[in-house]
Amino acid sequence: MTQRVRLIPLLIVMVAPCRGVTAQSWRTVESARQLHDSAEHRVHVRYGAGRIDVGGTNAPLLYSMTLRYDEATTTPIHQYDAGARTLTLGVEGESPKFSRNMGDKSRGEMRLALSRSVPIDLDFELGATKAQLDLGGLSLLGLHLASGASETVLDFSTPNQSRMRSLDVDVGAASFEARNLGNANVSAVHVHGGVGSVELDFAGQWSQDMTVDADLALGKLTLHLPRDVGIRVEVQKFLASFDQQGLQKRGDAYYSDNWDSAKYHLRLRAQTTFGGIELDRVD
Amino acid sequence: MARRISAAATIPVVALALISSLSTVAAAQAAATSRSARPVATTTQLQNQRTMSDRLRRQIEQMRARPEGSRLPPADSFTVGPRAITPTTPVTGSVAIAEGSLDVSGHLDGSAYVIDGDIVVHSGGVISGDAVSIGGRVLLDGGRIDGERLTLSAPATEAIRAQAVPPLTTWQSIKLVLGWFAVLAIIGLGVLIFAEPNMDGVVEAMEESFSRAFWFGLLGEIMALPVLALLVVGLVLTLLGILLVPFAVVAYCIALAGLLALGFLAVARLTGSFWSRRDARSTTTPRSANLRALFVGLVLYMGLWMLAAIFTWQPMAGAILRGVALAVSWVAVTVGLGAAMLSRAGTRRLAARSRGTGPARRPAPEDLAWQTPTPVTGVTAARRPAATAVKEIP
Repeated sequence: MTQRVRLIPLLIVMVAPCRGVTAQSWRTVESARQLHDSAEHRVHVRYGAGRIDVGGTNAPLLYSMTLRYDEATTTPIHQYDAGARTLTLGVEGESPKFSRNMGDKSRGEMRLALSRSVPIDLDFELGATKAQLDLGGLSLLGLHLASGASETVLDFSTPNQSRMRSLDVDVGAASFEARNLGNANVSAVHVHGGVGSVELDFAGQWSQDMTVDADLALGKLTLHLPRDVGIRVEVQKFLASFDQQGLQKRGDAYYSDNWDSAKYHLRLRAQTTFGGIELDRVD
Repeated sequence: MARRISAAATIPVVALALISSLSTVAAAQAAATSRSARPVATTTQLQNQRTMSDRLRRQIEQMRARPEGSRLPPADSFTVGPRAITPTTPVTGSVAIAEGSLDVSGHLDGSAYVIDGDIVVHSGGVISGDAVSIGGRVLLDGGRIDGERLTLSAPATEAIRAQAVPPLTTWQSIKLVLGWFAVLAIIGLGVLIFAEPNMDGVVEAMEESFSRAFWFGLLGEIMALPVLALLVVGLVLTLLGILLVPFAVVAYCIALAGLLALGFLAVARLTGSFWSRRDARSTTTPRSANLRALFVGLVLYMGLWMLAAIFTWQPMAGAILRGVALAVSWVAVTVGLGAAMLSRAGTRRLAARSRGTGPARRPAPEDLAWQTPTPVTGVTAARRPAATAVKEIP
């Protein structure tokens, strides 16, 4: 009430725009947990808004996380259930799907390093984030990535140490880029996109055949495919373009020339409504 | 006989005294044994608790109230100052210290919590639970932490300070009102010096129709934001105008603030002129009369806020007075804004006068003060110099 004394009506309008800004209070938390055994763990990462970098570590740690967060709106999560071997990391408080889209300087930041020695079933739930996920060298048994309005780069810079059961990506209005999927050591990849661009690069060290389901509602789907891998493409499109890039049509699918002779095969089912599908054969 | 009686009586007394003293010694020894059986840490903890300041206690409780500090033990569990756990003094249970570091070279069968200090686990040291440091670091120097290693930056002092800011005192409120009065008086003086004709125009618009000015001002207040939005949208639609949007927004806000200020000062001058007319016979120039009217008007309006400030100590009366001051000030600002808009910040009147179609300037009450109604004893009234009789706007 006393503030009104000073804010005489003449000046209320003059200062009102300056008082609408919500105060932020940034804090940093560092959390790590020593590695006790190499049993399988389930890791759930939840991050609403900001920048997130994930990588691997060879240190004797299950994980190491550095988190910068706004304590006025968010609360850090670092929960570990030793019995269930479940680890939950990130922040809560902002809805990942509807979090504010602010400038990078005012955003939080999360840096996470996961053990390369432990088999991990990894689950990401990201909001309005700029994510750089280099999961190369980890021992991933499964990967599920759900993100809202994000700019995500998923990279398997080095081969995955375990055979991954499945790789599921569900992105909303986003830009999603996956690099070196050949190193993922996975047989089934599911990519579901809303609006935006999805770019899948299948370079890397192939160890098995792969089946990819890519579904993009509105936007551009770009696939970078190694020439030494046999390609079979099924396309379902409506008001969308498809660049065949020398593939030959047999029945209801398009095949590469080396389909019968290639060591590894990629079966791709691509579906888009508005936009385009572009294939890029790389050496 | 008497001695026998006395001796006989003395023996039981002495015996009772001996028994009593022995029991006291035994009790004291038992108590001492009991105390010595307690962990050394507990004794130290009790001593240190006496030195824990209220500020630190509050800080710990505030941290515990936050989600990230929920695992902290109560403030009473904390000791103040550095502490060491050596191989010869293993500790069972959690250890919590503040304003000091914890050096662990032995075995801690529990968790460690440190506020404003480091946790250092040396070679051979083991913490079987979590190691939590707030405002410090957790360092592994060859030791082992079985639980979580958690480092949390110190809470923002601004947040704590903001919670502890007391409300303004009566004297502080009065000073604030005086400060704003001074600011408004300076602005008013500047307007009178550099833009007096504009203020005259606003005052005349108010005098022409008070209610019209009020409703126009109310409409202006309601439409202020939509007009700004339309302005921005219009600029955006022109594409090239997008670059001008920030400048347009700033210019619009400045213009609006200027209209509000001009209008409020004009209302204050008009209100003050009613009091000034009582001194109509004084021989002052129009500008000084206007200045006095403005000053009196500001005193009146700010007087309401001053009254509210004086009653800050009494919440109910203070709130009512602030409500009254707010309502009166809002009406004044609304009328002033409406008049400023109607007169286009006073320029409409100036334009009309320059074309010669507008009404002649209303003389200030002091302008007519020199005239006498009728000549006295055949002496005609003296004429005032033309320059001050009617102030013409070039």
